[in-house]
Amino acid sequence: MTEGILITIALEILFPVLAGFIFALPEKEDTLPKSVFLAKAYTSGQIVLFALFQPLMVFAILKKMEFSRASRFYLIGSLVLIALMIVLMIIKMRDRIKSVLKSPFRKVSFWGILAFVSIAFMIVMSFFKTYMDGDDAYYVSTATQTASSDTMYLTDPYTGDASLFQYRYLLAPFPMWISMLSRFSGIRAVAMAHTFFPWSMMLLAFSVMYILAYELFDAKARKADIFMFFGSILIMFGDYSIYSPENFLLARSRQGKAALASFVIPFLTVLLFTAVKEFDKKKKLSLPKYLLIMLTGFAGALCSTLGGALCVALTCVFALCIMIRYRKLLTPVLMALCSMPCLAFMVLYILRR
Amino acid sequence: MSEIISIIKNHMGVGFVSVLFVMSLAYLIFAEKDKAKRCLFVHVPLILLAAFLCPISLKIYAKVSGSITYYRLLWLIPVTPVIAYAAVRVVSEIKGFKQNLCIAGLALLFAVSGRLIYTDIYMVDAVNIYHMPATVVDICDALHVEGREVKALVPDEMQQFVRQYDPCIHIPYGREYMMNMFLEEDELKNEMEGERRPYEVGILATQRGCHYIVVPWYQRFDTLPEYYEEYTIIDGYIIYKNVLLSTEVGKLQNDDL
Repeated sequence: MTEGILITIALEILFPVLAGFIFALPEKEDTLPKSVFLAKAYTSGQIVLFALFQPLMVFAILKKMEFSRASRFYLIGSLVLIALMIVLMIIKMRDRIKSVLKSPFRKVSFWGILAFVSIAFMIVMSFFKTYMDGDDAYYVSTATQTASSDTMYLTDPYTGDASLFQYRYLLAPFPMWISMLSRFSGIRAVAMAHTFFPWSMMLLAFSVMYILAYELFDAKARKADIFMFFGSILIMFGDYSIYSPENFLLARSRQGKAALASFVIPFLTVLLFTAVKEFDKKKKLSLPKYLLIMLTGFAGALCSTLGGALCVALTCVFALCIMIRYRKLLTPVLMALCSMPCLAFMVLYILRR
Repeated sequence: MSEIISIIKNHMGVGFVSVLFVMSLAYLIFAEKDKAKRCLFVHVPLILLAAFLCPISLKIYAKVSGSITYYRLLWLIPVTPVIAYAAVRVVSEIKGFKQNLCIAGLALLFAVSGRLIYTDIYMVDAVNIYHMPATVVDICDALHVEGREVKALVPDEMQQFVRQYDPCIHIPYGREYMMNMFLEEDELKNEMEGERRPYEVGILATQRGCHYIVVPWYQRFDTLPEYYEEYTIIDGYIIYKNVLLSTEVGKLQNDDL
């Protein structure tokens, strides 16, 4: 079990951080506190990993490939990609790595400590409390069925009977992510889904909020801490409705739609906000921004069939704001176009349902 | 439009978080001057709200995915960041010790405006590493046969958990019937929910290949269901085992019929 937990931590933290390093490095002239850099690397890396997983898994499902084979391909492919990105970073971006290593950690105020305590409380509670949600009968059973039978979407998760492809679900194969974590860690899929996965989703969601706090208040650490404190209280007391993203994050984090509502969409919101800031300063966007917009769309499509479309809608709204505010056409159009490849999954769903 | 209003009402739920959001948005419309922040906290929420309220959006969405998930468009509006940011702006205007008091007061207001997730009736203490009810774990472990799949008729309260815990246990009808997702009648389900005649239940369950029937002790059958014998009692549930269907490894489900 200890070995399984260590592998889970590696898959849920180390891999994403390594995959996201290249996207988190600050521009040459900028500085970035280490903690913000780590939060950016962690969240961007998870988006990259989700985005790679989506097309590969959908292809494997449609080809009725064995799950073990597909997940092995994915692991090898993502490891090679991470290695390539790190090599590229060391060769091309040595100065920027040095500037991050030299940068200090952020100072934390009293309100920052309180925010940290309330976030830690929510994470710890995810191990000791459980939310009885009926939808798990589909999503978690799909994950356990896959891990157990080595097949993907060939059985009805409710009953175990053989079933036809249900395009609504198989085009957003988030349960396969849980199955993959279970397969490589050796922890049973049901335990992975309910116990060893939710904390990482919460950590991702709060990392996104931490980045937003930094982007909003720049060097004013105290204000950022107060923002984090308010945010953590609003989330902890966010069970005002079963439809709120806060409810999904704290109660149903093993479901793809929870990942969409509490991590992917907030990540895209922050990404687009930083894009507006960058455009305001430089009147153009850097290549990694466009790339991340595209990858976030794929990550959204992994979480829910309409997740990709929601990501496209959000990008288009931000693009519209830039277009109206700055009276520029090229960058917002490029932003919108970059977000659109993920719509392929929705089109496939509409054609095959 | 009435459908949209009802979706909004459901999304607002209990408490005053939506009121706080509207107040924060109104405050930021007048107070926020920074271009990028105004875009994030004012323009984007307003455009998204307008799009959400537009009946054409609902029509398009419903055509693609059904209106039941239309509320997800509201996820695009950064409700928590808008409230938190407006609150930070407000407390920044206050200096000294009063500021700390104000922060604590606002945090208290946020807490009473929403609802603590851990007080939700569906949020319960986890009793094992799987976060499954202990009874489900005990019964599934008793039914599990290493190396093959078995089928068990389980009571409604267990249906959503059994296959999460053990996918090697099949069930004759699942949660889709509880959610009325299918209009087709299920004879076995109707019998279990209706008269529960032991002979009919036994015949129907055998025809469906059920190796086991699990029922709460207080709902046990007066006489044994046809083709079933008493197997064991676990955590207040009685388990009947089929005498015709083999659970031996390597034998097909209905090979003895």
